Amino acid sequence: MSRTAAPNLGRSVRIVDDVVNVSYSDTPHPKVRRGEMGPAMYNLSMNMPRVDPLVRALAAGGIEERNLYRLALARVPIAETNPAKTPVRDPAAMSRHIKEVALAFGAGAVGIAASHPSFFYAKGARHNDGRVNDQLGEIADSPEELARRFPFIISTPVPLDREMIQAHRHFIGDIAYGLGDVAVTLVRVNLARYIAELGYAAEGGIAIPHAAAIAGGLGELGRNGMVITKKFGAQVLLGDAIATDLPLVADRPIDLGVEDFCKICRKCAVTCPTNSITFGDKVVWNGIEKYKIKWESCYRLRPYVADHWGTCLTCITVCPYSKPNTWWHGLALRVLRTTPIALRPAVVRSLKWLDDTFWGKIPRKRVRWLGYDSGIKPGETACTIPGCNASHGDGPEGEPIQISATHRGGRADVGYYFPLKENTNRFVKKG
Amino acid sequence: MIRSGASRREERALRDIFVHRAPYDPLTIVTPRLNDAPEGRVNPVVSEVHSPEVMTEHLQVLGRSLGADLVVVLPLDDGANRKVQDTFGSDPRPYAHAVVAAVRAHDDIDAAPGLGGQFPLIKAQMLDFVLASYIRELGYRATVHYFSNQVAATTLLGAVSSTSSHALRRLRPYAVVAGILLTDLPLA
Repeated sequence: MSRTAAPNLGRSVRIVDDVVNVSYSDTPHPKVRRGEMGPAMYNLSMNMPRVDPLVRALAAGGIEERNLYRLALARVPIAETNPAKTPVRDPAAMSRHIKEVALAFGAGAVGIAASHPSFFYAKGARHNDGRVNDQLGEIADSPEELARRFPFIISTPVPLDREMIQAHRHFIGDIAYGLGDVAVTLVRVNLARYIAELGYAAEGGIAIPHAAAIAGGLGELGRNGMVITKKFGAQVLLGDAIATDLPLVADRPIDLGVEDFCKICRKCAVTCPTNSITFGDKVVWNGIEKYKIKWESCYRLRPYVADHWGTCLTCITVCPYSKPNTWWHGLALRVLRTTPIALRPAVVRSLKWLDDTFWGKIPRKRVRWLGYDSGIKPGETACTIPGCNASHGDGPEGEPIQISATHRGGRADVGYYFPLKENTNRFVKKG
Repeated sequence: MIRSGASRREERALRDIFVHRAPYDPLTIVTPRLNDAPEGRVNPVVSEVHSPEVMTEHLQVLGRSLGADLVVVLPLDDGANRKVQDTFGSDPRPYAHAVVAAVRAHDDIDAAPGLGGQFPLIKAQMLDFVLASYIRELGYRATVHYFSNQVAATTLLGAVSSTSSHALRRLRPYAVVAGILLTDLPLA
């Protein structure tokens, strides 16, 4: 239990009471693998090959795990820490250097958080790329000891391809997530090894990525439970944070207006196919005041939609902050941030109206990538190749098969997304 | 932000360590261990695939999405297969095609032993690994032979096909190739 003074996490999330540190064993993935989320989830995770070959190669559910890059990388033994520490005369210069290195490895942004006991997992299981890892041993120290040993936590999120994740609830979105997964692993593994080469400790799998990213000034916590970043909105993969004793200068939490926006917007709650995102106010959960998502229902849908997609991404795609990094997006953010807090609701309503008008209340853009086409309803396709539902000119004379567009009202630019919200509203309670 | 001269000097020194200082523990650079890692199995269910032209384009687009600056597909005749076998001395079965994924680098990786200097090689190896995994998941054979250095890579690729050498020369200042991916996936 963390009882030290509450850390500054900005306006979107506050620690208001004692926090009981969570063991990694009690987080969603290990629970799924132990069968505690039901046989359907267990079978999806452990026994069921995914339909799409590229999803199998990038993320999970393939013929075997030796084909997965991130797991192959996780099996490379940890490098020994250089006994000759590189002297750090100027922690600010070292911070800039570490950020430069992480960006060179492919990170989209870098944040350095000052440690706090509540940012660490409880004693017990440790993970290495999402798997409980016996090779590295358990977390032996208490969160307080970890915060003393590792005064800083580095977050290195990687942006997901913006165009590809417009095909949320589709294999294209899954693949964007898989590509991000490879990229974020590459950054984390190499950055940790570089810090060890400088002569300092660098531990992955012991700190909670969301807390570290928010405290490290990368973004704020949204209603959808995602860290909404300044540059990429919610469309980032946080990856694992690195706890270190390298002398650095911590960044401060930032105000992007997420607190004000999420209060009014609710686009993620409206579009979530499982009603896992609350329409209500923040609650205090385990001493933390935040919007509490129902991750169980978010997970439980997956086995039933596995023929269509694996990673939903709808709440990330729909978020008004997840926009191209352009002047008009920067301007909107600046207007919101510079408006006095009391006046922000009016600005938020205007910005949300603009977002609904120009980007749509429910993003259903048709995306084509690598032969995939999110505009074609499965079963209405001429192509029989697993994972591909594009029309490749397979008609009798080689012309493209005409696909009926009933699901998109005859419009060519609208994608097909399964399941539709109205389907799940029948059996998943709102709240 | 105004930085002092000392601060700028410290950053320059750190940048030099990053690129040029050979690591204390060779395990810092993951490529040799991953070169030796056993390859995954081929999916016994062979997927139906598109035409060779479309599959070639798919591999190139996928490679670029993963960060490749160049992905070249080379047809392998008997002579080219023999050259590959002579170089790597394993797997006598002939392959129809080779895939070469290259990454642009600012430093000559054979002269930059630091993690920063070697990172293009790590990235190029990741490309070979993921492309080979994808092909194996499609149900086709794919094996990667990794080069010991860039001279060996240039020599073999030049012997197998002049097309690849020309294409690699366009990547300046340095093109980095980790290995040669051999496959029987129908490509063009």
